Amino acid sequence: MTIASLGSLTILLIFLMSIVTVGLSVAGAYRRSPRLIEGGVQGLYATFGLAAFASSLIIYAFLSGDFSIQYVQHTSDSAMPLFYKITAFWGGLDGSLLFWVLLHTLFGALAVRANRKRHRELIPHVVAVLSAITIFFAGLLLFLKDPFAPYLIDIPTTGKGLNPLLQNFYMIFHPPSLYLGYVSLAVPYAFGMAALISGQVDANWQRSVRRWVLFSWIFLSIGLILGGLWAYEELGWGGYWAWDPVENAGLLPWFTTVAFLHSVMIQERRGMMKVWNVSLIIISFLLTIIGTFMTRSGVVQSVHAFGEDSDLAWTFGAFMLVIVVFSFGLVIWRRPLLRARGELESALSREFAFLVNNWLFLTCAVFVLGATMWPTFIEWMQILVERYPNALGWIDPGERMVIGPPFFNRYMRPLGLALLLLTGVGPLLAWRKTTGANLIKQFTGPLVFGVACTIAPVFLEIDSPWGLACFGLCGFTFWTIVQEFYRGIILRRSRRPQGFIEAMSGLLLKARRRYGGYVVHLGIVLMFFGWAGNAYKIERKTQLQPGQTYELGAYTIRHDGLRVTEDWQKEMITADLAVLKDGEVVDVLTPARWWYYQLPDQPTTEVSRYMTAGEDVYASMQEVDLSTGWTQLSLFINPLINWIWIGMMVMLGGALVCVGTRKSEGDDD
Amino acid sequence: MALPIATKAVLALVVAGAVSYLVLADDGEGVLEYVYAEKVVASPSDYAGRTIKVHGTVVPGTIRQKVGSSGDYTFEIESEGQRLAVHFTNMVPDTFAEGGEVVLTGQLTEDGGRFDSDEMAAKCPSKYEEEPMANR
Repeated sequence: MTIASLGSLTILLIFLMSIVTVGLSVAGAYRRSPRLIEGGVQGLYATFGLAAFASSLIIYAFLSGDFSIQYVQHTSDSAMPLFYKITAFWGGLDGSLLFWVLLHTLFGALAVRANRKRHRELIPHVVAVLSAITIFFAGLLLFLKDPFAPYLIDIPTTGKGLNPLLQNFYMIFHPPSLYLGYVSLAVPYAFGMAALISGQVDANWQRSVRRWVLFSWIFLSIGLILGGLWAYEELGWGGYWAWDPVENAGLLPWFTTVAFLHSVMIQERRGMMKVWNVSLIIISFLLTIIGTFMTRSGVVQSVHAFGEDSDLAWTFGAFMLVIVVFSFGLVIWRRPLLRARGELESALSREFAFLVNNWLFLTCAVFVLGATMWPTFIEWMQILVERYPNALGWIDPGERMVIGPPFFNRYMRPLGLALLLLTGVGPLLAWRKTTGANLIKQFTGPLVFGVACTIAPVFLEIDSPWGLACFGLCGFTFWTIVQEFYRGIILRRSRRPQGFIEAMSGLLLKARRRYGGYVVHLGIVLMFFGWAGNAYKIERKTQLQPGQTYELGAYTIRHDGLRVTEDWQKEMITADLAVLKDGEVVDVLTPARWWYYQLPDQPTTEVSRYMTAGEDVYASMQEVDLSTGWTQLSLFINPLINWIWIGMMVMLGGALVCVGTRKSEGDDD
Repeated sequence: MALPIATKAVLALVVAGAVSYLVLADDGEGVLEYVYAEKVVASPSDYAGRTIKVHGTVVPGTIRQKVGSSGDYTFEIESEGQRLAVHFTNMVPDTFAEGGEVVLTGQLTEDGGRFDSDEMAAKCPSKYEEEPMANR
C-alpha cells in the first residue's frame, strides 16, 4: 500500500469515525446511557488518533520526498531544509485543512478530558458538536481537497518548492499560531451549544471556556504580530499592516474574543448579557470559519478562483448557514432560561463601559468584515446576474471595486481611539454606579496627565490632530493603570508591611485576572503609542551611487558600495549604507536583493534597519545595476514603531498572568 | 435596560453624529473601481480620466525599460484575449514578471490608447503554489 492510498483511507476513517461519534453521543444523551456517552468520548479520542496518524503520514511523505502525491510535489522540493519540509504540511489549502482537523480533534480531546468529571451533563453534547465539525472538515478532505491525491500518470521526479518569501522564521510560526487561535475557538462554541442544548446555562460553562477563549486570543495575537513582523521585515514596503484580507481574517475573531473576555465579567458579576455572551461565542466561531474560507479558498483575491472552485464556496456557504440556523435557533429556543437577573443602573458604571466596549468591538468586526467582503460580494452578484439573467436581470450589482487601506484607516482610527479611551475609563468606574466624589477621586490624575501628554508633543513641533489625540489618550490610560497598581500596592502594604516589589507581585499573583488585565491594557497603550508614530513617518525613494549621500530626516545615508556573494541556495547583492547622525556613523545598513536559483526571475528584497527606541531607519533595495553601481532605494523613518512590538510582548505577558486564574477566582474584579 | 431616557437620547445623538460625520466627510479615498483589461479595451470612454485599477496578465515579450532609467516601463497586459498598452512610471515589485498577473492603479489616456500607472500589485506570494515552475 502506498502512502497516498493509506492516507486517503485514514481520512475516510476520520470521516466515518466522526459520524459514529456523533451518533453515539446523541443517542447517549437522549437515553441517558453512560455507556453510549463513554463510547462517544472514546470515539473523539480515536478520531484524534487517526488525525495524528494521517498527519504523520503526510509529514513522512514530505520528508521522504514522495512526489507522487500532488500536494507534496506542489509545496516542497528535495533541496528544502528539513524544517521547511515539515512546515510545508500547512503551506497549501489541502494540507492546512488536514492541520485544522488535527488541531481540532486534539483540542476537543483535551477539553473533554479536562471537563468530563466537572461538567458531566454537557459532555455528550460537546462531543457531538465537536465531531459534527470534524465531519465537515474531514468531508472537505475526502470529497474536495484530498491532500493525499496522487498523480495517476506522469509522476514528477522533482517538487516545485516553497516560495522563498515564505521560507522565513516568522512564517514558520505565523500560520500555525493563527490556526491554533482559530481552531481552539471551536471548543468554547461546543461548550456554549452544549449548555444551550442541556439547559445548563448558568455561568458555569463560561468559567470552563473562559480560559479557552483567552488561549485562542493569545494565539490570534501572536499570529497577528508575527504576520506584521513578517510583512515589515520581508516585503520591504516599510509598513506592517495593509488591511489585506488574509490579515483581516485573523483580526475578526480577535475583536469578538476581546469583546467576550470583557462581557463575560458582567455576566459573572451581575447575571446580565447571557444571550449576548453566547452570541459572541457563536459569532467568533463563525468568523473563524469565514476567515478560513476567505484566506484559503482564494475567493477574495480573484473572481476566477470562485468560478473555478465554486464547490468549495458553496460547501462552506452551506456549512455557515447550518451553523447560523442551528446556533441561533438554540439561543431563541432557550431564551426563557437566558433572562437577565440584573439591570443596568447607570451610564457611569463599569457594566456600561463594558457594554460600549462590546458594541465598539462588534462594530470593528462588522466593519472590517463588510469592507473586506464587499468587493467579493459585488463580484458574486455580477457572476450570478450573468449566469441567471432571467431571474436576476433586474439587479445592477455595479462595478467591482477595491477597498484600500485609506478607507479602513479612516473608520478604524476613530474606533480604535474610542476603544483606547474606554480602556482608560472602564477601570475607573465602579460596578453599578459611580458616585460624584468617586468620579473626582478617580479621574483627576488620569485627566491631568492625559492633557499634559496632548500638549507636550506640540512643543516638539508635532501637530497631527490624530497623533496628538492618540498621545493624550495614551497618557490618560497609562495613568489609570499606574493609579490602579499604586492603590492596590498601598492597600496591600497597609494590611501587612511588605516591600514594594513584593506587594506588586502579590497583586499580580493573587488577583491575576484584574492586574493581568491591566498589564494587557498597558501593552495596548504602548501599541497605540507606537501607532501614533505613523503620523510622522518619513518615506523616500532615491537613487544612489557608491560615495553619494542622502539626507533622511535627522540622518544622512551614505552609499559605501555593493557586494556580490552567493551560497548554495541563492546569489546576493548587498549594499553597504552608512547611517550618520551629527556626522558620526551610528550603523551600517545592508539591504540586499537575493536571487534564488530555484526562482531566478523573482528576486527577494532583504530589508535592513537601524533600530532605536525612538525610531527605525529602514532601507530596502529596489533595483541595482552592478556595472554603474546605481542603487534604487526605498528609505523610511518609522517613528516609535518598535513600541508596537514591545507593547505586544507586554500584552502577551499580561495575558499569561490572566491564564493562571483559578476557577475559584473571578470575583476580584 | 433601565437607563434614563435623557441618557439614551444623548448617547444616540453622539453615535448618530459621529457616524454621519464620518460618512458624510468620506471623500472616497481608498475605494477604487476594479476592472479586467478587456472591459477597458471594450469601452475606453467609460473609464478615461478616472483613477481605476486594471487587472491583466503581462504579455510575454512586451516589457521594455527606458534606457538608463530605473522605473520607466512600457508593456502590454492581456485579459480574455484583449490587450492594453501600459506606461508604468515607478519601481516594479519583485513579483513582476512576464506572464504574471498584475493589478495596476492609474488612468486611461483620453484617447483610450494607453494606461498610465505608477502603482502595481503583482501576484500575491501565498498563491505561488498554483504557479508552474520552470523545470530544472
